[in-house]
Amino acid sequence: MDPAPAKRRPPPLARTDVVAGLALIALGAAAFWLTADLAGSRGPLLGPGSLPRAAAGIILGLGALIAILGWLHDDVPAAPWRLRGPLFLLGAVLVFALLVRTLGLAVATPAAILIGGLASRETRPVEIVVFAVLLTAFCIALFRYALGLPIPIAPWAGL
Amino acid sequence: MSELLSHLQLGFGVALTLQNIGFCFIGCLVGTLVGVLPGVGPIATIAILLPITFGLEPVSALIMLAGIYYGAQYGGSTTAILVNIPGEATAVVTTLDGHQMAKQGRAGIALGIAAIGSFIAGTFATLLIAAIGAPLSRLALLFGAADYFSLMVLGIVFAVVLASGSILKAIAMITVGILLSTVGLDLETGEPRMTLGLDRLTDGIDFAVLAMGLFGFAEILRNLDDPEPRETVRERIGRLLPNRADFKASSLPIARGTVIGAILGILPGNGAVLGPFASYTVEKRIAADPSRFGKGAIEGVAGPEAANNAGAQTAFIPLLTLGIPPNAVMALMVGAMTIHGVVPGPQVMTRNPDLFWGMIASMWIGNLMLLVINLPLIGLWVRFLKVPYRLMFPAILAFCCIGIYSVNNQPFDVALAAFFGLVGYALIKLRFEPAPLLLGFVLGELMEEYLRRAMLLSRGDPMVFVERPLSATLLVLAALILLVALLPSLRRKRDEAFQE
Repeated sequence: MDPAPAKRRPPPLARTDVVAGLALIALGAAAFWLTADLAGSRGPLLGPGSLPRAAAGIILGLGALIAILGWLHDDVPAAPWRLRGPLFLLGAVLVFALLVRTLGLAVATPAAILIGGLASRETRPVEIVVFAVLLTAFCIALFRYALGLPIPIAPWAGL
Repeated sequence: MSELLSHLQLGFGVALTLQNIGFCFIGCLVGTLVGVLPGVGPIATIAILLPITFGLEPVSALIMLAGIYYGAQYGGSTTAILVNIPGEATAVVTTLDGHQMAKQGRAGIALGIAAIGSFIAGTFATLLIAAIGAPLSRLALLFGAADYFSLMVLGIVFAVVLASGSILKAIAMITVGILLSTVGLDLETGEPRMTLGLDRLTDGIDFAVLAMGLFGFAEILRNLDDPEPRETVRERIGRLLPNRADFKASSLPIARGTVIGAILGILPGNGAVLGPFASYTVEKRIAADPSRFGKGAIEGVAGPEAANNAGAQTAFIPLLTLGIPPNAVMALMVGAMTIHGVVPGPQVMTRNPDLFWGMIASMWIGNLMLLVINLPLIGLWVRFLKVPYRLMFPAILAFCCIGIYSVNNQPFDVALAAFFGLVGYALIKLRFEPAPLLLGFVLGELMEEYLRRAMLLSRGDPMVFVERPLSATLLVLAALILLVALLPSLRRKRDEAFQE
């Protein structure tokens, strides 16, 4: 990947396992905070908070261990995050979620495909538009008519 | 014996109705179709296709899902041989010699022997399940809540030891899965737990939503970030049917692979993943000329493929008899069964005998179908392999969106899956394996239930887990395995095995 001299270790906060450990610590802490109001063990019996907090404790401990070991031994630089893929792909999913009830599959599906298409640099404009139309028709035929699932197709047109 | 025959008769009576044969056929077909796509493994395939079974009867739905599973497995082998991309860990071995055979113009033979080996292994595994399914289910009825809990601990330990990559990270992923499984109303008190005040979360996180976020969306993001180099074979596929010499060379490896895979597949952890590796190692060790391996030896395809399929099928045994999923794919099956109102476990066999035996019979039919439909359709799969990713991913995107929505008809679920897609992307970047998380998620719910029931029955005495002989044995076994796996010398060996 990087042609730079391999011997150089990345700074601690840029090593995969350090970041991974810190992420686990954050998750464990968040779980403790979210379950703070749940009863733990009542006498000898387990309460609703027992298992989540036990899991959170293990996650915290493992996170600390992974972060420390990563600090000491890990040389793998944390992989870079890209914005384009997650932004457009997950944005497309959210748009689908917003539109499917009100405007139906006939609008939500092509919208998701077109927005999702922006996630890749290789997408070709004309091709993706044609593909969106064909795929939407196929999905409506499959899910609504062949499988009989009660998904609105185009509520604005009474379908 | 006569019991076995009458059970099989019942099963085939259910599976051989025109309707169920049809669903089995469609399942195998679309399973292969999606499984063939590079970068889409069996877990993703089942997650994507799960919604198309929602409208069916439980028996038909499970038969179709099983068909999808075999199809996805076989599709993965096809991709491994033709494109050199393993869909999942178990297909890694197939790429070694399978792709070399393809480069030598023997792709057809490799695909043919993989299909034939898989069919033989599948037949044996089906008979094995039918034979020991009933006794094991009866044995399972002796299990108390404490024993179940300990068995799941053992299963988790196995899964951790067999996960590729860091053991610590695998344990962390399973624990995160368990944590996520506790979201929603508490079983006993009805208090909402970690719902962030969201109404839709009181029922807990839907399993299909989690699976499609982690394996549908996150996989797309992974593929968009680093497109895998595709070495699609340019040579002709060639003859499909192996000749006499090929059969002679492969028959014993297939037999050995079947036995190895079937035994490892029964293990409560993810034993099935070991089968192909073990088979490959055995064949290489006993071969007259080990140097042929890695250069297109047919034994290196026949044995591991048989082991792969045998293990893939005997992995159903812990699920059907004990209700405990041994790996992420079986965890998906639990999710699917639950959606259809079937609670997996020993009572399935007595309460829904037609479902239990029908599914087992359909396993064999599914294997036969793979052999019959896949070989003639190989040209179609090859054409499918050439679909560019820029068109494939929008299709997967659309399917996942509609699929998730159709689970509960809730737009919130779709948005939640997008969130888990982001989580999955983070996991990939931080080098966590998402499969143990899914297993932990399904096991977590069962574990909490059994743990709290066991504690309730023992009036809060935790000694119940070591005082019951069955539970104590299982826990000691789990501790031993974990200890051995953490020993430095064995760890090196394990890493080597996964490197190979």
